[in-house]
Amino acid sequence: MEVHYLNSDRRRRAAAEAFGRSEAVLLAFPLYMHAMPGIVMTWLELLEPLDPSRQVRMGCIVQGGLPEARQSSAVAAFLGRLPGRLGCVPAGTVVRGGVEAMRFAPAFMFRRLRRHFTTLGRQLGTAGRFDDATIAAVAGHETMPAWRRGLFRILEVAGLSDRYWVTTLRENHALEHCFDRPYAPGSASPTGPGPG
Amino acid sequence: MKVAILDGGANSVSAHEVEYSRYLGDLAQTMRARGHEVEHIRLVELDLRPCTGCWSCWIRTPGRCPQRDDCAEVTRTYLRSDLVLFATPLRLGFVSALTKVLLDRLVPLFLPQIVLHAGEFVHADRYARYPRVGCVLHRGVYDEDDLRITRALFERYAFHFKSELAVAASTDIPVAEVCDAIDGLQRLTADEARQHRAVAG
Repeated sequence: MEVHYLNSDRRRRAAAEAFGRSEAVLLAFPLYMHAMPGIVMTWLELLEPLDPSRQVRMGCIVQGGLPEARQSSAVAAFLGRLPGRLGCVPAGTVVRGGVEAMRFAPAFMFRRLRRHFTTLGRQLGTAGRFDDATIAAVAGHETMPAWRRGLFRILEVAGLSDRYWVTTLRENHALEHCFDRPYAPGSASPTGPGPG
Repeated sequence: MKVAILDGGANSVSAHEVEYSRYLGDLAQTMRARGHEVEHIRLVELDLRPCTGCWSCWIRTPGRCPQRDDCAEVTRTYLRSDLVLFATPLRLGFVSALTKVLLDRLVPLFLPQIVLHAGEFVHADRYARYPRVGCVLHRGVYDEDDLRITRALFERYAFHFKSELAVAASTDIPVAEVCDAIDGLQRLTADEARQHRAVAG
């Protein structure tokens, strides 16, 4: 198995060559502005479609920061058609929102999700595709249930919903500039930290 | 009305690309003839680097990306517009990489903080006023479902600005019809324009 990162021209070219010689491909990315990061689309545009008779499997994993699966709906629909466009056999698309919380939430909260991902890997290795039931189990909520929205409202009123951001901004000495509008029409040149 | 066309097409001589470029040229010219102030920005001619996901624009230099390229100027143009049209030829049935790179780089337009909007979590607004958003898609060899899926991406984008997609056009639609739709927006946005001028001082 080879793992390729797509964050430079050189790496994207290497990954495009690897795509051409693979028997199975797993494309994974975090959600940026409701779809794949620009570097992923840049890589996809480099690819030459494969010979369909090779039956190369292609699966996709989308990791969203915001909790609802709906945030990924457009790119999920695109990914459903992508393998066929590239001469591959679809192995399934896994979408999971709310993964950003992994960076600060206790490990036990994501134990079940990690188990699901192990299962997905096993399925791709043995059956050549993700099982629909596991995809559904990983996906979580399409939209947030009322109780989660209600809980958020309570946290918001209590001033706790943005605690992570306030803490991080303070650590970076940037809290006082948090609401800066450096490019507002008619505004003077930016005065906060960083480049103009 | 100030209109910015953010054009994600390539420098290609393919028939589809030439057809797309010609359509956008006609669209810009017709809008100008109808009194709109149009900026047509070809992303392929800019130094526009991809978002690295560093979050500096949220947590270190709020509102600004640390990369020194042409995106700051595009962001200024974006914010002083009344309508922003994302124009892209479909690639693999979706937006071009250039367009996606730009969409990612617009994340400093939001705050990192999360709010609920129409029952969904979205990022809070950084600015007091945003332009309306539309898209102009060139189907090329792709089909109606690809157009629908790509439009859905821009609908999601507009939703994140607590808005709706104001123009959803494709190059199959005559330029005059698209301009009629934009003229209709102008009438709707008269109050917004006054508000914009007040905000801009």
